[in-house]
Amino acid sequence: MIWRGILLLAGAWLVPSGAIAAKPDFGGANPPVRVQMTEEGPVFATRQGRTLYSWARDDGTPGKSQCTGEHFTTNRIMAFVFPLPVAAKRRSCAEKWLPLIADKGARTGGAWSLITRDDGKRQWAYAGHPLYSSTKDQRPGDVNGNMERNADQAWRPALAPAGLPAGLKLVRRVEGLAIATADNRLLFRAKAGQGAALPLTPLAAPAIAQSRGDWTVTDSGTGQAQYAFRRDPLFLAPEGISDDAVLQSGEWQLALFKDATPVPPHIRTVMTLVGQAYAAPSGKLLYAFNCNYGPEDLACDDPGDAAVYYSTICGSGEECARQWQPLLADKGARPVGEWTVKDVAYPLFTDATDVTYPAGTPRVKAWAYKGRPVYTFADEEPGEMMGHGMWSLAGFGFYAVQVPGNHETGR
Amino acid sequence: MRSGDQPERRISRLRNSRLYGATLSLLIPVAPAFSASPETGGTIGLVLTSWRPALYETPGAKEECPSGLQVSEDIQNEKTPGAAERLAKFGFPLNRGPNGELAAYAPMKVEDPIPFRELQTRNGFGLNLDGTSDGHATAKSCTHEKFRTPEGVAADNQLARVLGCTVGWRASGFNVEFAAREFASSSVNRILVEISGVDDERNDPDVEIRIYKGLDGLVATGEGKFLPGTNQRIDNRFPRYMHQTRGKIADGVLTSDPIPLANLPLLWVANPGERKFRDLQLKLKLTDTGAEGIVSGYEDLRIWWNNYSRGMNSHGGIGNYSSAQLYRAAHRYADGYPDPKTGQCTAISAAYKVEAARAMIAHPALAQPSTVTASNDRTKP
Repeated sequence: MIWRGILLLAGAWLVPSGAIAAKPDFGGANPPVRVQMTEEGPVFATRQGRTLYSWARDDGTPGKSQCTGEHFTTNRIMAFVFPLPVAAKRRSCAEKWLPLIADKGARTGGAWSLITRDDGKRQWAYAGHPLYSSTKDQRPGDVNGNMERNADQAWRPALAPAGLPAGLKLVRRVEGLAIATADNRLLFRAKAGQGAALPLTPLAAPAIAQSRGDWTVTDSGTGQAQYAFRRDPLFLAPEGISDDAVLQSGEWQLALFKDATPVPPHIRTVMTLVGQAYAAPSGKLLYAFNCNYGPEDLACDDPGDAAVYYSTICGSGEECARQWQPLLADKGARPVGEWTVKDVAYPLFTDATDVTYPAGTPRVKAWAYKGRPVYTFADEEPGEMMGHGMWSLAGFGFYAVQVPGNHETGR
Repeated sequence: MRSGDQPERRISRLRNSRLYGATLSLLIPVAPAFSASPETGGTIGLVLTSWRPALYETPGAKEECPSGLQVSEDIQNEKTPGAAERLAKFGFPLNRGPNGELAAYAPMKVEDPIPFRELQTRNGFGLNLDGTSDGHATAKSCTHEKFRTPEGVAADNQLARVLGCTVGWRASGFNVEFAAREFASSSVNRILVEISGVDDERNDPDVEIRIYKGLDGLVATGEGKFLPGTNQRIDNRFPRYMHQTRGKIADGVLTSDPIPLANLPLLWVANPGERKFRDLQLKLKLTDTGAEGIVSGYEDLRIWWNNYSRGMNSHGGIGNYSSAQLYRAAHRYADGYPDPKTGQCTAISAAYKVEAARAMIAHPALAQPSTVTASNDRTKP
């Protein structure tokens, strides 16, 4: 009975290619991209390794980019029009999100196409989505542009085919990138010599499936083909047993496409009401500022953006510096995974009506997560979570830095 | 299964069941937050389903708020000179502080032109936290006015003076209704009360009371009530929300001894946080399906304001109040735990009306209900 159900599922995986694609197919196109491995999985990136993104707002206007070079001075919210803070120094969307411009010899094909921007330049699109890189990304593998909290406006990394059998996908977990079914059931592999006490259901492969790359097709022992990843046969939790219960049994471990990269050794992980979050050596939670505002819901937490986004929450530059203290990096500290060391203005600003990082402001070497400096909240004691959600309805504020893949929704 | 079942009986039944073999391998070894209960007698499990500020309300608030209800932050801002200049300078209408601060995060930087509307009734709800009948100062309290409950008992609930004339916190107000819905819908708020050593559910002079954070959802009926008897697992990841005290049951009413210090998780208008109570007490009328009554204690003002002011509450216009006034009122009415240096009280007496449904509280070391399902039983075809 179980096999019948799984085979039905497997039937949906049948694709002409034999279900497994090892490399992205450019379909004859020549986009100036490469595939870059990141913590989110393989993504398309510029030739320099900058992750490429698509923007949800473009979804509603096929063939046209909503991210332009227009410099707005006001923001309309329902019937009200508000002046944008420090509008004269505000960068446009296209200055923060760099369109992947096509040169004269651009050749389309497959999922790769071109759109024409308002300024007449041609921009590459993948699967119909215009592509951009983020000024927040500094190194190959960075995916710093997708920390917005407004999912409707989300910038999404352009995920490249990961060579998974059809019907499978990657899911970010604390342990790394886990392989899961399209309906979010995690896949498992047995720990050495274990798995007998809690037998799981083999992940069935269709009869025409072929071995390719990391993926092989084995015999489950009953004559039924079964997928294996890096030689380990893969299994699913049967109906009625949760994935968490499987992991808690100690018999099985997640089938990981990629292990999570480590965090700096002194960064702690603590359990909070919003899931696991990172903490300073003192035990105090780490927070990052997240800001999106304006007609384009544009990131406003970059150096040189308006200071009022911060002063709204914490007051003068001096008071903000007292409340929100950057996690200082030791001399010689080196980037680890999604953690980097940045020169952070401290205080962040001196005039709430001007911009952050003004010339002459002292800088400190501090840790940043996904490109954003991390802070402790001075008025909080270890174990508390006072700084999380200190935000304005307008769309900016401080949030606890949550361990990826372990967010509790609170719902 | 009656919620009064003893743990040993539950274990015995589990061992005898065919599920046991499949379940055993899934049990999580957990270091218990408390030692195993030595109690004999039955156990009553409760899961809180509702949590609202205990406010005395009359139609139109005429008795308790004769000078009217609070005005919103928007109106206070409009009446404060320089509103247009502030908007032009900072770009946001409610950035009222000298650096464009929201009043919620810098309440002392903002002055309101329209005065706070004081609660002016002696009627109220709550428990007598300081043990006095007249509210005179004690070692752990500042001088304050007592309320008189419908039973004619002196009660402390200074928080009612802060919130009582705010439309958002009165019955059917935005804040109270929003918070009530999320209290039921979010597992952040899942507060479990386990009463053990119960020999007689109507009268028992000595019972043990334990409070936990739970993990599971509530099951609502079409009438907006919550089904009793659901499984509620203890969220053993949060020992800071586990508390223990003793109490008694008299005529079906449970009264707890004070818990000296109790943190409780609380998602409060879309804002995950917690509350820190001193001398937390429960007075719950037990029924066959649940309980209702009062949870009361001195709320630490630092934590209360932080939890209260963040997120959606940072814009007092939503609940029709002013953050600057509310903050000042809370500190003006604070009546608990004076700072030894300044004498200023650091906590405020607060009472909440709560409702609860009976529940099967599952201890992690006993079983994980989510894994104890029929489909786990591989002996079945």
